[in-house]
Amino acid sequence: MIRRPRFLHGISPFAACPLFLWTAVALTAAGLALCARAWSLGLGYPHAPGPGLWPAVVGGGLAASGALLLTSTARQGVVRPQARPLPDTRALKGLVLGCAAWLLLFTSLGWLPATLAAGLIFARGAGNAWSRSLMLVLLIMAGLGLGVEHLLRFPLPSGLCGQILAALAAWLLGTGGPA
Amino acid sequence: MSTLAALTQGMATVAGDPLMWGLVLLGCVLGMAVGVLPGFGPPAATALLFPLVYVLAPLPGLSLLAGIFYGAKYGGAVTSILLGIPGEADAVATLLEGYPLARAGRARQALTAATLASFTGGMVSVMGLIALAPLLGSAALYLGPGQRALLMAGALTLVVALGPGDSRKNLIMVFLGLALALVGLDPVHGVQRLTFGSWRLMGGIELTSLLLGVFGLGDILDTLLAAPSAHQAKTRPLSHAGPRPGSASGGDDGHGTDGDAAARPSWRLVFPALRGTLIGFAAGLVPCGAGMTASFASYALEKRVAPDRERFGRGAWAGLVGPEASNNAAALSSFAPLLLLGLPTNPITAALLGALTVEGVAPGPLLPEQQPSFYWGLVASLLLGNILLLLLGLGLVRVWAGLATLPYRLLWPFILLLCLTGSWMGAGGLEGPIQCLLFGGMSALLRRHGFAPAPLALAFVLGPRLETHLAQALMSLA
Repeated sequence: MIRRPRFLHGISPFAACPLFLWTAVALTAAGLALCARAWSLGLGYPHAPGPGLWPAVVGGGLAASGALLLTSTARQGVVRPQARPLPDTRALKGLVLGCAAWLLLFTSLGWLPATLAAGLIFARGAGNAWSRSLMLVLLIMAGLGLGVEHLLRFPLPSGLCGQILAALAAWLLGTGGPA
Repeated sequence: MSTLAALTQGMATVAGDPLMWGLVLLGCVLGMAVGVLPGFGPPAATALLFPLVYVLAPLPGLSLLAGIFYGAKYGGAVTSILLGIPGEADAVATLLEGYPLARAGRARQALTAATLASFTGGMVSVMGLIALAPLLGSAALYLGPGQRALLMAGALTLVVALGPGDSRKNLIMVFLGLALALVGLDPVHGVQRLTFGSWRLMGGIELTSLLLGVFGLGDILDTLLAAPSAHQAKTRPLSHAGPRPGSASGGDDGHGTDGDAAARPSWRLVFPALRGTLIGFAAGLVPCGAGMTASFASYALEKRVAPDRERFGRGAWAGLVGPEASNNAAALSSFAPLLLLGLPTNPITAALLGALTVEGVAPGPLLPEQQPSFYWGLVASLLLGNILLLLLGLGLVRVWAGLATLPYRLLWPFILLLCLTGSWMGAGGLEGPIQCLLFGGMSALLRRHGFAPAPLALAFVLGPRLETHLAQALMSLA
């Protein structure tokens, strides 16, 4: 008969183990996978180390330290996590949506619309009023434009929006535009 | 060239360049602001400004980033004393005595004493840095690849033992950092490792993205994942936190203050400041020594040697001055192992080592001889920064205290946009922000389970160097 570890007695392991233990299991598994990959790269010899030697040491260390944490936690018994108060879900939703918007818009439409859209979503998600959100985002855009593009001379992607603005500026100044 | 002549030349380089003055001042101001703002640490601020090293020359870039580090040490003390909120972890020791003193109506004197102690700690520590350079330069002859690998392995062992939190978890984080550093081309054989066939991963994981993700985005997610009240409570208005600086009326928060403890500080505080400086200087040379270790070691010593221990916790001047001198001394002495051994001892010096690599500066015992203008210029900028910090600390107390009341809901959208843009600048493409988001999520998950991110960052930076020295040492055995 297989004896179950003390921390699993009487309860389903999935219900008993906090996410922390699964994190340790995942890290141990990652270490073992790294060892396997290192083996295929070639370990070499003591006086001529191969490209797999160091990854094997690191993978072995990761697996061993993960296993050490698992066994020591199992020996001490799992401390059931205390019920945590709910996080700020509105802010988290704003963070995820804003990041997605920024990634989608940054290179296609340019940094200006990406910063405007993502900044507004972040600021609204954080619980700021529309007017304050807009002021905050305009401040950030001015800072990025002045600091990064002009002071540091690091070009940010202008994208489609930049092309339209450049064409518009050229047309207004009479230096270009459609013939 | 003698040390004094080289230092004079470095000071002339820094003093004669308005850009250097501006950047050192900017670094100190940003550092103090970061130290004051809870939920936003100096590693995150260093990571946010890390992309500047791609644009600035080595000396201005490093001077700016260094200013954030030691500026934050003082900024943390301001909120600890005035509001009872430690802006930084190592300012907790300052809070123990500083806040009761402020509540007893000695806020202005407490801030002045803390500023002067920080200044003493910083200046003595820089002097130590100057003295160490020739000693380590001569020791360089005895350091081969094997010894260097041993030194780095020893440093990582100390990070595991002395780092924040559980040492078993620190061990995992060190190996995770070393594993992340494996991605890309093998530094010895040039073989692709863990790239999964993607050319984007051939250059390895971008340091900027990792730092911004682990510290910048990680801090934000960690705060937002806490209960909403947690990050709202961090913005306690000054009026609720006790009397204004310098006000005569005392308060009682349960600690109580007796009349003697709240007496005027005397010249005898020089001794706790010097003891704190010595402890801090020694602690800063050791991995993970700068920070809470240094300030609490100093606090414990002051409590032990004090003739009136019962005053501690009720507003003892020695308990305020010692830790303040100690944490600033530790911050500045950690530049010695970074510059003279290429050994980072905390996440910020790990970022600075990354910056040195980007700038093409090879840290090591021969750095003062091989690149004297850079080394002595940086030392001079540390001296200048300390003087500016003294002026900023004494002159703008109200401004820093007011900054601490900024709501977090205004800060995090700003920080997050800087993280995304900064990681794009660092990587030169969208892979930077994507890596930043992935590392931010990973950092938040690991933090929720008690894993500290600092050992990961240190191991990530040291990994390729450790591997190269180890391979060279093994090959030399043949």
